[in-house]
Amino acid sequence: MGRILTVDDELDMLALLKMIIEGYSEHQVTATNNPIEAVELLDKEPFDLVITDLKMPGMDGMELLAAARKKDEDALVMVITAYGSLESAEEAMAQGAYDFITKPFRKEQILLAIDKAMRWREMVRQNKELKKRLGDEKS
Amino acid sequence: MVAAIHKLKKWLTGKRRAPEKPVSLAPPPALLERYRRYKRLLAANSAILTMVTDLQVKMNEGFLFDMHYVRNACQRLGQEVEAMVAALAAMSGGRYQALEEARRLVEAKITRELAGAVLQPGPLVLPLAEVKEGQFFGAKAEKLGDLVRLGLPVPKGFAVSAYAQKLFFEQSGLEDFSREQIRRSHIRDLESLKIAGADIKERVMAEELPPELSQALDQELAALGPRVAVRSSALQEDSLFSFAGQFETLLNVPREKVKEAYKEVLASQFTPRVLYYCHTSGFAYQELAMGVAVMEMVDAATAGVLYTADPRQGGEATIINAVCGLGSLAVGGVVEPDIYRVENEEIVAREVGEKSHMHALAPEGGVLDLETPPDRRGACLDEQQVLALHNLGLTLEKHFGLPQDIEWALTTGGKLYLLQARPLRISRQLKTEYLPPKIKGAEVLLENGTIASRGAGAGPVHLLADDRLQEVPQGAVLVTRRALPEYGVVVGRVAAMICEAGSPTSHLATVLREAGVPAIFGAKGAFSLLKPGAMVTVDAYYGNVYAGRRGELLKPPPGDMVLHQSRAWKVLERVLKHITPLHLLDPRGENFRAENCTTYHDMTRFAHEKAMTELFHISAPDPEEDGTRRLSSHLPLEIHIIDLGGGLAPEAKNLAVVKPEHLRSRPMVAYWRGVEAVGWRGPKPVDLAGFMSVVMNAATDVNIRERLHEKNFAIIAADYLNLSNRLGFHFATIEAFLGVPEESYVSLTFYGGGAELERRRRRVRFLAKVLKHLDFRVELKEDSISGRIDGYDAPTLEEKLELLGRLMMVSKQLDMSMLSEESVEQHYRDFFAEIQETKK
Repeated sequence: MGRILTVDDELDMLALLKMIIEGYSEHQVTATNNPIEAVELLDKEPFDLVITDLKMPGMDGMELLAAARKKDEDALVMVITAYGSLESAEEAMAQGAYDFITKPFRKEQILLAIDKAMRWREMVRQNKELKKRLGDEKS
Repeated sequence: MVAAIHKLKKWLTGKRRAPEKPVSLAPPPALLERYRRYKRLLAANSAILTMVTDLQVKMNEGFLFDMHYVRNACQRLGQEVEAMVAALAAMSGGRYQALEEARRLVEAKITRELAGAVLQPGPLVLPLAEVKEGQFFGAKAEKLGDLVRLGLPVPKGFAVSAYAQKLFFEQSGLEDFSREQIRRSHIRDLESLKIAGADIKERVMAEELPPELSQALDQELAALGPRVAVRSSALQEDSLFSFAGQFETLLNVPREKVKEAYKEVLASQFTPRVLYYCHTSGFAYQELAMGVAVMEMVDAATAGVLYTADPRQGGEATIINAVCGLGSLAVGGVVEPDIYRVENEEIVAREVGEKSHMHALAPEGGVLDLETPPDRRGACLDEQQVLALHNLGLTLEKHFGLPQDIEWALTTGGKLYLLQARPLRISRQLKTEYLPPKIKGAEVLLENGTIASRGAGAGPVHLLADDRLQEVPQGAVLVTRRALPEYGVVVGRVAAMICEAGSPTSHLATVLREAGVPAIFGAKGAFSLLKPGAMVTVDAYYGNVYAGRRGELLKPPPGDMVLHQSRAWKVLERVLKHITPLHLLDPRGENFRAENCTTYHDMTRFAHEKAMTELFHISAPDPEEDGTRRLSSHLPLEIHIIDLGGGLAPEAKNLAVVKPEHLRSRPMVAYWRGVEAVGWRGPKPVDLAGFMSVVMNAATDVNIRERLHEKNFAIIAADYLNLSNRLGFHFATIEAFLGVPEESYVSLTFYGGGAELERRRRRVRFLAKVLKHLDFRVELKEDSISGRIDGYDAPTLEEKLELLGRLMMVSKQLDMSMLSEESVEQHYRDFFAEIQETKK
């Protein structure tokens, strides 16, 4: 079970994401429509994955991505892009987003993408731990 | 007489001289314009059908989308429909005004659906029993109203409408105040949003309610007990709930403090998240206005929640959570509740929770958090009570048709109350929906089609013959060669459909998806591979047809209740009712009229059909000679060509006389192949009577000279042919458009002739027989015939055109030799025998 932060200014999408993720997986979702608050939430509690829309008023997804990566270099961020804006998805990936998904998407798509991200997160964690153990053994 | 016959013979067979005056080779602008309109109309037609398909797929195949998507899609769709209707109007010189009127009506309906119900003035307060959907009391209060009317035990109470909040905010100046606070806060400064929220709350609490609302509340409260519960009932609870959280619910409120509690509930919505939302989308009552339910407080000994299905697995079970005292601790994980599971009227599992704390009514109002006395820590429901709850749950589920999530309370006296009910959100694990692309061990009969309408169905095969739709039996798997819109009339009767042609964006596919009939299109060979009467299963998830009945495919797919609860989905469902249904199935039908178009789909079909008619009239008034070139071949045929674009090779651009090898128009090239294959044979040998009948008819026809001098015109484009053919004494028009299968057709009209009526009739009967054999839909009237074929891809239609070219050359002056009914048969056999011969 992981903790996911979803950020989208479209209330319907936000509601759906929460319903779908909590309904079809074991993950817990914190949802906010306000990217500024999202940054604050990242300070308060750890999240395994951030799913954010790219186009939002006040602060866009790229800014949020940068803020999340600044707080934690391993932060996993998945961006949601509008249909036909592949450039912005590429740009987000170049800036360190883990994955992107294009609207509208099927629920299986987002669930599989989350699954993949969570497994990646676990691998990174184990890898770090092993490296640390190796380092400890050497010294 | 001899001279006359000689002259006549010369007319019938001889070459005529080309006009010598210089002509412009550019096509007449009016013709070109009409053709361009037609092409625009076709582009719109195809865009509309593609968009409609996309909307249906998004709605039915598990997609997540928001209102932004729905609005955008409807806007683009609306533009294309408008363009299509305008193109038809332009082609027809402004006819079909009724279609434009119908379009505006539908557009207005869609706009209204997208805007949602606009908050209307209405009653401020109503007893729960009178609260119904559509009166702006919020979903929670409306559902309670339903329960009261069902005679179920709901505490006495009333509801305050969202309109009451609007009135309160307008009259007290709160609306302007809130707007100003929101405006002054900064979108990038969370603290400023918090301050704005606190200021608005403070002001809400300080303002007096409008006198009419205050009086109405007093009146209703007088009928209730001394303590009540005040619950929020937001209009957009589902959308807001995910991020704004549950709005305030105040329990055990003394009657005299209800107005304050009401204001507190209203104020609870001004969280930073809601204010951020208002910042970006404006302060809209539509989204935020809140109804409130006020109900007598139940002094509960035990309370909790009840699910009429297992929310994790969706199985047939009732699950009851129960705690001591008030139900406010039953969910949320603060205490461990008792859990009861009922299956088949039996308690199959009982877990007694720890229930360390309980909520009880405080004497001064509000709720007390107490340690649960030791004697109340055991199971808080006995078997009888569990089963009573279970039965109540079943009653609700049966009434609403969906699994329910119910809040309940039981008094010390053992009286049961329902406090709230809503649809249960059932989640299912992804893997339960998995179906293999191919079932192991099953016999696959067909696997080459594309999915036109998702789902699976089984039944005996019925091969559609001669479009006799009335013979299609109930529950059959209907197999057709084409995907004609007319077939839509059988959707209520068939289990599934397989078409050898057609695409997912055809009219028929849209109708099938609308009706939920599984269908596979483009399944070449289905007609010969599937045997009539044989049981088959159509798997329109992966595009296979299996022998026999495959039960594993036929289980109804788990409904995606989660997705279907989203506002965007519900709006799309409502909007599509004005878009996808097709009522104008048959162009020959009585109802095929502009004023009967009530959906975008109707309009699209109507406009496309009429546009073909309008385009056909392209040749009605003989085009002037300007813009024409002569087609010169070894045949004594004089054809004047007008190229609307791409019909001739580039090197022929400046040639006034072109050769068959210059032809690039796909349909013309195909037709001409047939013409040349038969060649010029001169009139068939005729008996004297036949010949005399021509002569006599010609002699009495004052227009004979004119008619024999009429020219043959071919208006062509890369994908289009409109050939007006005057061969001998008859008149024929052949029209063809070769694009995607949905747009492509070949049509023909043919009438007249030189011989007496009966012989002419025999000729058209011969033509009808051949055309029917070629799958044309044929209509006969006296000595005229019209035929049409569509629903096929371009290569198939090219073959038909070639045969049509042959047929036209063969039937030239054939009327004269139509001595008896037997000659109809004879010529029919000869025609196909000759084709067989050439193939060898």
